[in-house]
Amino acid sequence: MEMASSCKRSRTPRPKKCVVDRLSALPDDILHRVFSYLDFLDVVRTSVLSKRWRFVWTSVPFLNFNMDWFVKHNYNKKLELMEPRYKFWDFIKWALLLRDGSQIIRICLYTDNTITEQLNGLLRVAARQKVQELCFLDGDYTADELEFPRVLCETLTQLTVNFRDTIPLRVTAVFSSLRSLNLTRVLISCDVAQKLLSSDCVKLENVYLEDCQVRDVEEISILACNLKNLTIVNVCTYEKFWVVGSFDSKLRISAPNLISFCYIGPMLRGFALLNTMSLESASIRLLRVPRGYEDEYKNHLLCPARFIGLNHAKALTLSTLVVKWGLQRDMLKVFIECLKLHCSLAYGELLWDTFILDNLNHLELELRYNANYIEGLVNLLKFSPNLEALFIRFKEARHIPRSQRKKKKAIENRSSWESRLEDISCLSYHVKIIRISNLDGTEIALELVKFLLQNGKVLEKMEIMPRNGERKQKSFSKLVAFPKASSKVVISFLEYAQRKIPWFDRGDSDPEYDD
Amino acid sequence: MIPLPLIDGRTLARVITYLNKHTEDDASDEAKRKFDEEFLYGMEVGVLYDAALAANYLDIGGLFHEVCQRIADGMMNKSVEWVRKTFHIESEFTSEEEVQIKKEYAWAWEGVDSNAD
Repeated sequence: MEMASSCKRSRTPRPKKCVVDRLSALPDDILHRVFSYLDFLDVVRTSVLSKRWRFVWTSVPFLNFNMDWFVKHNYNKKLELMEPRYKFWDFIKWALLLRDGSQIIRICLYTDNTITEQLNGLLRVAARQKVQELCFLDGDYTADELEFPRVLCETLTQLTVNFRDTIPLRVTAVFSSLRSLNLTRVLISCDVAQKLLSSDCVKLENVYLEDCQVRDVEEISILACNLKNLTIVNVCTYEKFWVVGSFDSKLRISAPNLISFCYIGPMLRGFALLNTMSLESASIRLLRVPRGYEDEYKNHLLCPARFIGLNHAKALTLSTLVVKWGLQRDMLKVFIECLKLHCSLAYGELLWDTFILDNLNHLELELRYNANYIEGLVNLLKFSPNLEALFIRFKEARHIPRSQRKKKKAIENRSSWESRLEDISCLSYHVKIIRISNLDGTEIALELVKFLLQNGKVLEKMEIMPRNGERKQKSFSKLVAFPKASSKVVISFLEYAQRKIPWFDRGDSDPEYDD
Repeated sequence: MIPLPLIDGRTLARVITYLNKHTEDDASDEAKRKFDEEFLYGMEVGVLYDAALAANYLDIGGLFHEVCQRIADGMMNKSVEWVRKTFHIESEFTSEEEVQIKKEYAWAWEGVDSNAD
């Protein structure tokens, strides 16, 4: 806040309309902040504006370099593919060399063509300058490793490496100051994973890992004790579809301060989520469950004993596969049986209690029009006694190839479900708002709405977003006439904005015929 | 009464409008973004500078970010002449001096015509 004195200097009385050069009158640190939104090419070029601007660029602490931008704005004539890119690296080197030596806080680099020696050179300079935030984006494939010198490992507070194609990383020391980590398509060895995610990384709070590959390791442990937000997107992208998960090993997370957790990917061989007392929101989207998974994947997230890791969450978002495989009646029966076999009855009862999702007050689910899924939902409601808000989204219909269509008709006939009166704690005392989107007018859909209306004793809002084109159906008028347990409930029909289907939903997730 | 000697009444009023909107309990992120767009769209350049100084002094991150971004948008990828004209910057350089500086930083001026916009 040493703004005061420089502020006084710039507070000259000014006319109503701005024909005076007030931009130049702004103090240097505000100009630096303005420059942090510009590409460094524009920043260096301000040196010719006037004497006041001659050397402002030399102390800007936020540097943005963009190869694409540089080539586009410097080269109108057609040149050899590589030449402008080498000129770009010359530009970076001159810019760094002619700075006034003040602290560089952030370097952000977009490079569509990865020249690893240049990147590693930049990393060595960044180490010497004790750069705090580093962002490497958009590079393409290289077999050479990106190497982080020891000093850099110790001074970085924020690291983002988002390449278009996998790049291997090599680190030489624990990232002891790192607060935020964002890695996409990075190949790491077990050793690197440890230097990034172990309990020595005391400052680490936010981790985002997408499509990362881990070599030669049985289990990845994420033990950073101050970790607050963790997102793992464990899929390989291949031409806009996803392919089976990039790492197939076990995952172990023990983070006592974890507030939000998100996992998108296939089922893993082993999964443990421990010490989750402060967890507030969790989102699990399973993209694939291999056949015969019960044997190989005993310790997976959906194994009832592991589901306990999520029981402190206040908000939960679950995809169809979680509902289908994790919450059917027989899975829960298996759970109880396991407890009775392996522990004394008293201990078993205690564990049973901890399965209750006591803190859950916001639940988002994805369902299909199938009795198994609806039963899964009912089970989950039984274990969420304090739920207040329920959001259900029915999965978009998939394109069925002609050969499969007859088979599908047969399956649909199997999946009918009838509503029933049932005293479920959350529905009787807490659920106030229910929203169902992408609802069509079929039997099973209406039965579900009937179930929620006739058991929701304190329900206030029931919002229905019909599937596009179904709005005027007669079936919806039937809906309004269903018996309602709550006198206050208001049923409203809203526009369903067709959501943009994320790329990981277009692949071969949960084939329906695997019942 | 807390005196704020470095900010005038008008700017302070605008800053308070911004803060009121952003600390509203049920304003969604969408609503806040829309508000920011309208709020900043109508701002004259002079007001932007006042807002930047005020936001920096009062340490209001969100507003400071938005305002600086807007000022930067005005300078992004524009020729030197355009920037001078728009921001009313008087150049004390003679044309020879200017050519000299450009030569010194030739690595930043490659392939650019002197009068391109």
